[in-house]
Amino acid sequence: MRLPRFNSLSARISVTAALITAAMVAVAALCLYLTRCDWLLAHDAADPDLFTVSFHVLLRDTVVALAAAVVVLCAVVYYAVRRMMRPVEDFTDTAIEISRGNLDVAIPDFDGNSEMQRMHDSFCLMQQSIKRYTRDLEESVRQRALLMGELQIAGRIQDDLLAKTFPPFPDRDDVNIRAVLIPAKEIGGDLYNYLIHDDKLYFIIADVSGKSVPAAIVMAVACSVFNTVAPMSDDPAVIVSELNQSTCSNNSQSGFFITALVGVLDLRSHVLRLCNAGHDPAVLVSPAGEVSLLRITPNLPVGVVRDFEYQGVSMILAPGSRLVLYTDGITNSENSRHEFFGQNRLLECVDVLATDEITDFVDGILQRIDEFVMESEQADDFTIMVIDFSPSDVIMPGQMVLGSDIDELNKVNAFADAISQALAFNEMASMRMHLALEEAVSNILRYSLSQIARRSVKLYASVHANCLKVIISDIGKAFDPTGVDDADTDAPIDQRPIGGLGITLMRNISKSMSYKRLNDRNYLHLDFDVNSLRDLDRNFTQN
Amino acid sequence: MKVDVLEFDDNKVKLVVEGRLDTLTSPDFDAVVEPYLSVPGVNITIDIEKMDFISSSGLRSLIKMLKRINAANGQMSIVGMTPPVKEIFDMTGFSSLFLLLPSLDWVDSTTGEFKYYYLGKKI
Repeated sequence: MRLPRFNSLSARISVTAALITAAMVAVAALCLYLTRCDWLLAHDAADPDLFTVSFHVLLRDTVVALAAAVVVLCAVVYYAVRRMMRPVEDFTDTAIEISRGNLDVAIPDFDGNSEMQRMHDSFCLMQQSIKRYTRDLEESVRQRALLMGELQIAGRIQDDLLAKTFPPFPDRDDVNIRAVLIPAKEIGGDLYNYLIHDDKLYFIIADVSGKSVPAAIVMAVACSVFNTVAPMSDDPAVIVSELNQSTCSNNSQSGFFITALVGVLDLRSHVLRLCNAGHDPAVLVSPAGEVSLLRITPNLPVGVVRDFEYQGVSMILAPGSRLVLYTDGITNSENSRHEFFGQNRLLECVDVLATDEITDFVDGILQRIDEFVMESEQADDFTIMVIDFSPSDVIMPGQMVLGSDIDELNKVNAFADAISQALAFNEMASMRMHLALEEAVSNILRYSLSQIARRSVKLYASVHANCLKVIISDIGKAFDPTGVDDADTDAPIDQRPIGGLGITLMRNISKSMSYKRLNDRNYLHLDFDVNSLRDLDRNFTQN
Repeated sequence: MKVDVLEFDDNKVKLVVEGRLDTLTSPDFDAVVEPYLSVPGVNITIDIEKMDFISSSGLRSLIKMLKRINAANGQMSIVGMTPPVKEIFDMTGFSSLFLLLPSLDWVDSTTGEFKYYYLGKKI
């Protein structure tokens, strides 16, 4: 049997209801018919089974007829509902398919102007909309990823502009620096930098107004201007003026400005010159551990007035001092109660941590800021730079830089002479100094260097109390002379090897030798006992 | 560094070294002494009284020299050791390898005649 095709859902429901009603009417009619029969129910005592049998037959027939009617009714209803629900099921399947990501699945079609047709149309519309939104979303996610990737690359480039190897000057022991810059976004407008040229330390800490990309561009320019200008003038006011000129000429439209603190510390004469262009004052920790703010003549920030005349100040920095420089991101760190970290808290932290080693000092301050702000989001870039100054007790020859040519040993002799002169060495001490340095450097020049370079070897000397320390660093292949055994100094002539004497001599003359490999350079530390070097009767063979 | 060479009869050679005998100068020293090292029975005396400084490179030159002279059945002695140089010899055990004589006016400058004896032999 095939029901006529009804496309409308309401029509189907109506037909189903009509069928159910018809079935019920049929059952009712059957019952009525049974009651209207002119059957007589009689009792015959002689045949007691007669009544029983006919009643049982009647009951059975009625039950069977009812059961058959119910089964037919159920079948009809089931069939009608199934037919009516099929399009809905098809739509459900389609929706599930779409939700699985198959946006191109065909929507079941039902002809005619009906609810199902309208549902079909809405489904199609929805499918197209989802497709369009998905495409737009994918495109914008792709664009954003691209932008984020570029920002991250820019951040890395910016990061590379900053000196980041700590300790930054392992080839000398009179100055140590530790700096941390944490941008609020991928890239930022804070900067710090430092370099040593001609035994002078040049340093800058600065904060470009604003954040993110525009600030980062100004920062990058400022950084390279500092690197270029710094070695050419040891007057920080001149460096700041140059920075100002360049910022003003590149910045006529955008109105950015930079607060900066620039310093030049003469590592031999201990003269510190500073120029402050609207930046937060540095904190000075004296050798005795007293903490004070280094308030110096304020100048306009960089990039405001083109021909502003910047003024610097100069002072003597006591050996053992520590300078703490920072940007306002530190003091303006804010917690959830909208309180600022502030200068006083910073001074308290510096006071508590004053005697800590430089790395622990910086980590300690960062940790205290962290504890203060808790979960609050970092609003501004922040930077801290700490400079420890621990120069030699006696003014020594400055750092000597050698090429890879063996003739450069003449300079080593001059260096040994200068040390001998600075420490008023006797002939014996001077000879020992010459010997140790010649052995160390000639070893490097002959065996370690694989390439010709103008700045292959660096020599640095300092005296603290009775200890003379010489640091010799080179770019040669890794070689640890302290691991070489002594030559056998008791062997008879025919068993004596020709080489191996130099290291024996160095070991005998120095108090201790240590070696480390850092950033592709060899660092040899030779420590000498100054009194022992002067001792005429020192018996080296007993060493 | 400067090396003066005085040649006498009987294969006797006197070398007077002045200045520094170090990495830079020892190749020059090697070149100066080279002609005498293979002479059978050569007797070389090195005056180092005016030598300011010797490094391991200088010591290497001396030990190479001694090995060659021994092979040629010659003799080598060093005179005029100053305390700083003596210390370097001591540190490397060289004092026991070489025949070390005190600084003296040990040779007649006109005749080249040696005035002093060592182990019963006129040197």
